This record gives sequence, C-alpha cells and structure tokens, in this order.
Amino acid sequence: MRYIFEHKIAVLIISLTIVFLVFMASYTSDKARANLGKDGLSTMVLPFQIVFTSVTHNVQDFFAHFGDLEAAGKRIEELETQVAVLENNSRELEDTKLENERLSSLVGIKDSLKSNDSIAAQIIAKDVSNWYTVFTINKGSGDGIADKQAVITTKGLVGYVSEVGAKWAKVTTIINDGTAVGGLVVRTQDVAIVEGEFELQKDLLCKMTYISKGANIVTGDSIETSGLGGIYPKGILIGIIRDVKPETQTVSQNAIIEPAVNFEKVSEVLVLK
Amino acid sequence: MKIAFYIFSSLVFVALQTTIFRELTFIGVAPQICLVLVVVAGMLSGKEWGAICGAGMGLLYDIVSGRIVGLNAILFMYIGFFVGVLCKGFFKHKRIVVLFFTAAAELTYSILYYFFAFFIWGQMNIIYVFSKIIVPELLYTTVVAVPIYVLMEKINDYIERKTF
Repeated sequence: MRYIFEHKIAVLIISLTIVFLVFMASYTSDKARANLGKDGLSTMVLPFQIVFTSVTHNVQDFFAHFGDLEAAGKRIEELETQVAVLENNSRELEDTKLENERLSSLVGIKDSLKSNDSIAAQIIAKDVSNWYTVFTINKGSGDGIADKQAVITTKGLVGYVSEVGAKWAKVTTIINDGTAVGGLVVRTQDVAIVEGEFELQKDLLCKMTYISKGANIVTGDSIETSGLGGIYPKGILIGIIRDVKPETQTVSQNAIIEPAVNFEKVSEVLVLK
Repeated sequence: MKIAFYIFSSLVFVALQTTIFRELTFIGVAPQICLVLVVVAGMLSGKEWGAICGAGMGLLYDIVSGRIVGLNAILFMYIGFFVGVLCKGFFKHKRIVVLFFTAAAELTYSILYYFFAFFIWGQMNIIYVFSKIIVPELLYTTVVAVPIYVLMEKINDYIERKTF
C-alpha cells in the first residue's frame, strides 16, 4: 500500500496501459455508430474545427482572389461561348432524356440515382494523421445521415460514410487504403474493382484491378460505379484511367485511376440517402 | 488551472491539426503538432504531467481519428513520460533541446505506429513509408516544434505566476 503512494506515477501509467490495452482488445472495426463518450468528445472538438476551417477557407479565398482576377475576364469570355454550345446540347439531351425515359419505362429499368435524396454537407476537418484520407463532415445522424451511405460531389464519387455521430460523420474516401468500389469502364462496359492503395493515396490516385485480360481499355477511359456491392448506386463518375499496367503473371490487368474529385480541394459534398 | 490549460490546449491542437495544418502541407505531409504538445508538456511540467497529458491527448486523438482506441493513447503517454524523465538534466538552451526531443519522439512514435497499425497487418512497404511519410513528417514537425514550445512556455509561465 505504501508502495502505491510512493510511486503514484508508475501505478498510474501501468493501470492506464492496462485500460488502453483493454480498449484496443475490445475494439472491433464494425462500430460505425459512435457511442456516447466518443460522440461527446468528438463534438467538443467540433466548434474549434469549424472555426479553424472557416478561417483557413477565408484566407485561401482572399489570396486566390488576386491571382484569379486577371484570368477571370478571359475565362468569362470562354465560358460565354461554352454556354451557348451547352444550351444547344442540353436541348438535344432533353429530347433524348424524354425518349430514354419512355423506353426505360417500357423495359422496366429504374434509374438508381434518380430515386435518391441527397444531403449537402461541408467538410470541416481532415484526418489527424498523414496515414489516411478520411474527412469529417458537419452533418450527422440528426440530419438523417447513416452508416455506409455514398458521398459524392457534382464532379464525381468521394467515398462512403464510415462513422456517424449526432452532429458529425466520417467519410472514408475511395483513395483511402483498403476501400473498394465496383467500377465500370463506360466505353467498353467492362466491370472491375477500384481500390484505394497505400502507395497511391498521397498522389490522390487509386488503382483498378481485376480487369479481364481481353478488355480493351486505354488511357483516358472514364470509369463509373457499377452499382455492384451495395453501397454505391450505379452511374456515378469515379474518374479516368491514367495508366494501364498489363500484368504478365495474372489473368487480369491493372490500371491507375485519376479520380474525378480532387481530394485536396474538395470542401462541399452530397451524401446520398 | 494547469489541468484546464492542458485540456483546452489538447482540444485546440487536435482541431488545428485536422484543419489549418492539413492545408499547410509540405511535400504532402502535415506536421504532428499533437505530439509536439505532449513533448512540450513533458518538458515544461515534468514526467507526471507529460504522462497525463500524453494519455489524454492520445485518447482524444484516437477518438477523433475514429480508429482503434488506445494505440495512440499508449504511445503518447509513454512519450510524454520519458520526455519528462530525460529532459531533467537539461536546464539551459531548452529551445534547442526541444528540437532534439521532438525529433526523437516523432521518430519513435512514427515507427511504432507504422509497426502496429500497418506492418503487422501486411503493409510492408518500408521504403515508401519512410521516404514519403515518416521522414518528411519528422522534419516538418521538428521545425514547427520550436515556435510551439516558445508560445506554450510563455503561457505556462503566465499561469504559474498567477497561481503562486
């Protein structure tokens, strides 16, 4: 007993070590719903994160302003001509869309994206360490967000919701090591798996594997979600093929994918219900 | 007073690391300012505070990261404790000593974290990890450590003067 009082710090460290080891041992990766203590502590950090993120964005916007001003004038002219072309295109597409709807209803295909409602959210924090590409968004279970919902931007696929708190949620991106998405090469309709890989994560790229040897894929082909696997609806743009790597050993080939979303610049996302 | 100071600092440092410092990346990495806080706590307030601050900070870090709870808590706690034990012999030039301790702590932490969170699960790309994550993070963190130490030292002095 006296020993304990004389060596308080040693006793504290040993007992805390045991407690933390128990935490680690009882941890399972399936706890997608944050428990009360975890949720509470994360929520305490939240206000600071919101303030710092808005400060960062404001400063970035402020400096971006000067550089952009000159280029902006030129860009406006470019965009105006583009708008004219696009307006024309959209009229044509409207016709095609109506025709498509009519034909689809005849065959009985339901557009998987159309039936989805989405929740807009802002990225308020990134992962604490340099080892992962995970974001925290400012909407949680209170706003209707649940585990394993797909997260997109207007440009393409971001990832999925991996953990939910009351006022926050974690989004694991498709470039994070260990995530996998069912992909589809739009031009050739070949199915493959798009995987996040450790070595590519830092360069904001990911890998596509299990493409059959016969598939005629080339650099620049765009990849969409195939809808296989359950989390992601069909037809969301993932990215384009940057590089094809034929493998001699296996029956399949690999490719490096450049995601449509720039994970360094993304700040607003949509969560699909 | 001191406990409040460290709790508040921990919250602010985690928030800073996940926001502003994530944007201020240098060759793709952000500095580990959470670990710097633990080193600074060990140096300013001794081994007891180093261990307590390390355990608390590590636990918060684990919870905010949303992965295995306990790993960073253990690593941070021992780092805080040993920094407190080892820096007792240094009285002068603390601002240079902090460089050395941060570098040592960061290297130990990164290697152990990589070992427990990746290596034993089959991620054995050691050269990539060292050249792209561990070494850049080490350099960046060490540079950032000095201003953080100076700032925390000033706040700590102020608090101690108020309390006594």
